[in-house]
Amino acid sequence: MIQKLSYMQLYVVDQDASRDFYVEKLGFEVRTDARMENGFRWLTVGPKSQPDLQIILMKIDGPNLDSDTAGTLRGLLEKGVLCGGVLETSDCRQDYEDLKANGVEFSSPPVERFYGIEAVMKDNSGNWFSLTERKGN
Amino acid sequence: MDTNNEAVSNGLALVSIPVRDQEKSKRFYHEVLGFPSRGKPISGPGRGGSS
Repeated sequence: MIQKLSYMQLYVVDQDASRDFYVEKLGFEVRTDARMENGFRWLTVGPKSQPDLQIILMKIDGPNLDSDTAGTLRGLLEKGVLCGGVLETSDCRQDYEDLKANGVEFSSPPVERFYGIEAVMKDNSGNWFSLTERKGN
Repeated sequence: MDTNNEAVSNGLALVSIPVRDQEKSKRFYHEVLGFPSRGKPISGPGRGGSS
């Protein structure tokens, strides 16, 4: 029986830059940063509040993808159409101000929605996330 | 920002997977994988509704 989602994957352009972004900008922690003999780098991060969830930062130019597929993914990242999901916050407006001041790019400022307050941000590869303060928090 | 204070204080609440057909995907995750349906169907402005 499936019990839980323990890893999710994001494609990133540069693993070092992504590691810096998630640690220094978002305050995540590095869970694993290991290199295999063939050069493959297994890099995972996670929110400090979620020790059972790891986000794999997978390099698009790695050994698992051919060059055509990597190029397609790079194009999708550049277009900003790949969504990572919803990051939940207890104070969307404050986090928006803090993150923006810290250099995080937003495509939408905090807006009142029927489900709460939502801003839309991007990581430094182009993956976008909803930053949401749920109604009732 | 003090990086000791995590910006996204409650963590990752939802992940997103692109799918071809939402109805087929809903059945797959519910009937094949056994995932429960979450909440009541809702719709609202801004996202074209969801179910």
